[in-house]
Order: sequence, then structure tokens, then C-alpha cells
Amino acid sequence: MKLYMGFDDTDVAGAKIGTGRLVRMFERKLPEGARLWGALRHQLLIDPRIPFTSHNSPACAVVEIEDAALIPALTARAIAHIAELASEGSDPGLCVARDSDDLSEVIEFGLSCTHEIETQDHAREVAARAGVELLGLGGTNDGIIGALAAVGLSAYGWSGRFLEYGGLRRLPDPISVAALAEAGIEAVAIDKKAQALDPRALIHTGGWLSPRLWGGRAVAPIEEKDGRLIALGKRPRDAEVAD
Amino acid sequence: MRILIGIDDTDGAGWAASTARLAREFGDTLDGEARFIGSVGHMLFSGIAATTNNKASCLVVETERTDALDALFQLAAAYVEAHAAPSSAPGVVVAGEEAERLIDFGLEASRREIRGDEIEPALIGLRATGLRARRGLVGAAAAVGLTARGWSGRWLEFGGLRRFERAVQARELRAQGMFLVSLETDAEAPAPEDWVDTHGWLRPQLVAGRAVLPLRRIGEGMWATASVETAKKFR
Repeated sequence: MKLYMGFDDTDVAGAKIGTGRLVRMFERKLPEGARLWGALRHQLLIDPRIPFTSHNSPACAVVEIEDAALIPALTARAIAHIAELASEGSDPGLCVARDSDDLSEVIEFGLSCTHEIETQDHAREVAARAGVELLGLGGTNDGIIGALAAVGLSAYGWSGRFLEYGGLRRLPDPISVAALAEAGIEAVAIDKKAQALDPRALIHTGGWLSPRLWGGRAVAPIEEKDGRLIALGKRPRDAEVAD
Repeated sequence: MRILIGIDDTDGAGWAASTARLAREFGDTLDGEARFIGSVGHMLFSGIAATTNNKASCLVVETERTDALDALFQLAAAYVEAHAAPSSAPGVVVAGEEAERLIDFGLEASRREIRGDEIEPALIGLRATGLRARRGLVGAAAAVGLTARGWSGRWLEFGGLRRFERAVQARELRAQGMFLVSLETDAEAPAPEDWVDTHGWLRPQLVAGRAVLPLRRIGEGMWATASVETAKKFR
């Protein structure tokens, strides 16, 4: 089964380890029987009334486990990971949910957080009704809002982008469509023809491959520029800030 | 049960109705037979002679009728025979779950010309028919395979695409079952009240088996569909 582990508000301005990087680093803490399927960055509403460090972007570790008995150990390790690496003065939150839970209301909450101001009280109510774990781990505990939203948006499956996915950062550039598929990443042409790409075609990533979560899958949107197939990536500022 | 109906090579030089239009109009006749979900246009290998471009269509329908495959096959074959251009060489392929068997064939037809001797083996055990030179069987089978795969092509009909105004709110598109995805670095979800400029050409992509609109942000609360320069190549 898949386990969604949402993290938010683990850093402060100027912190060396942002929430995205903290979540990627969590892979090393996974016990035997657990495997990181992917780490996702999600974008929530940017509004002056919402206190956030830089971009109001929580992250979610999606972990595959063989045995539900691992969940308490994973949760304990996530709490310890946050305690070890979260910035002094941050307001961390953690959410843990199984993909088999009824997450429909959590998904609605996540989508709401992308364009509305949400509250801790509402987050706790939604989490309680869905039966998912939602933990405030310091400061104002405001991180529970983004942590729950990150789980909801990951379960929704149609927004956010991958910070990590099956050795993403070690893939060559350029890389063939077939090799991307072997890595679990579907290359999708987004030009007018929307034609199936030749498995032998080479995709140029510029070293910034950052698949999107579309249909619950890792998808690389592909454009043709100057006769070359280019994967939509990320801008350098995200490497500095969110990762 | 979901049923796919591939149709290709029904038009000819000077013939008013393209295959895409014929497929769409056939879908509209299916009331009572099956629910017409939409039709998907697939671009195939461009290096072979085609009327305008090598594009095949696939209708997606749903039904609970146990005899639907045979009934729809007969209806589709009769409709194509009655409405295809006299100079055309149409093909019709109808498949339920067995459509998966045509995925590799569809991918091959996207990247190279299919030899004549490759067609019949691919169609063994499937409901397929062709008229005259039967060239359209390749495209019809490929369209079924690619639609079953679910990761390429554009919806030419899906919940009344043509009735939308050029500027439409995200919530209206979602209500029709479309998924809106941002191509921006933040990959954010467009808000329900955000506006989408479709450039007057609303043709979602087939992605993960769904109707998906990749969008670029053009302003606060405003988006535009991506990769659309001018309308009207897909009819």
C-alpha cells in the first residue's frame, strides 16, 4: 500500500534545509519494508494574510509499504526527523494517511488550500473525519494545514511536481522516451498534435527534470523547440528554495 | 463496459466531412445504444500518403448491454459505408477489453509505416472490417490501441466541447470531467473561479485515460490553453 506523509512549516527564512529537502532526506530514515515512491512539492495559496517562509509549498513523501504494521514506526521516525532537522522557530506539521483511507474530504481541503485561507480547526476536523493522523510538532502548529493539504493534493493526483522519483537526479541528459518509461516517467507531448512519442526519441532535460503529478503518475510534459524535444523542468530558484 | 470504435480513411479530396467529423456525428446517433463519452483524434506516422494528415479517430462509448460489441460493430460499419467518400478506403475496428492488444500496434503506427502483411495478424480475433482497399484498417486499429493506452491524442468531442465560449471558468471545465494542469514551475492547481482562454479551440489531451487541459498562467487568476497557435487543424 501507499502511505502519504505530508510535511509543512519545517523551516524559517534563510534556513539551509527547506521542507522539500527535509522530505527528500527522509528517504534515508525509512525502515526495511518501506520504499520512497516519490517526494512531491505542492503549491498553496500565496496571500499576505498567510504566514509562510518563502513559497507556501508543503511537501509529501509517498511511501510504499508491504505491511501496515510499519505505520507507527514510520510516523515515529518522521517525528524524530522533523525534530532533528526543522528550523528553530518553525511551526511544523505532519500528516500520515493510507491510500486506502477515504481521502475525498482531505482532497477537497487540499484543493481549497490552493485558493482559500484555511484554519487549523478545519484541518483537524477534516483529518478526524477521515481518520488520518495529523500532528502539530512545534511553535504555532500551523504546519498541520499544509501537511494535510499536501496529502490531499497528492491523493488528488493532478497537481504538484516531483522533487524525487526513482533516482530522478541520476538520470542522464538527454534521455530516451523508453528510458524515461523504464524509470516510471511517462513522456507526454503537449504540442498541438499530442502524438505518442517514439520510444527512441531523445528528451533534453537540461539537468532540471521535474516530472508533474498527472493522473497519479510521474509525467514529463514535452515540448519541441528548435527541432529538439525538451522536458519542462523547473527554474533555478526552486533548486535554491524548495529543494 | 467501455467500448472503443476506431475509424479511419473515410474522407477523400474534396469530401466535406473529415473522419473526425464523421466519427463525432456517428457518436451523436448512438442515443439508446450506448453513452457516447467522446472521440479522440490520433496523429499517426506522417511519412505516408494521407488525405490531409495521417489522423485517425476513436470513439469512446460506455454501455451495460452484453451484446453491445456486436451491435455497435454493425452500426459503425453501416454508418461508415453510408457516409464515407466514394474514393476512400475506410476501416472500422471495435473492441472492449481486447483493445489492450492493439497498444503496441498503435505505437508502431505512430512512428513508422505499417506493412500490409502486419495488419491481418494484429486484427485476429477482433471485430474489424474495411471497404475497398481497406487502408483505413491500420489507422482504425492504431486509434483503438492508442486510446486504450491513454497517453496521446486529443479529444475532439467530450461533453459538448464546442458549446463553450472562448473564455470559460475552471469550475465549468471541471464539471464536464476535465482535469486542468498547470505547466508552470509551481504546478499549482487552477482555482475554480479562474478564467481559461481556450483560444476558441477547446481540445483536451488524452492523458492517463482522461481529458486533460495543460495550461499556462497568463495573469492573476487567468490561464490559457497551451500549444495552440491557430485553430482548425483538428476538425
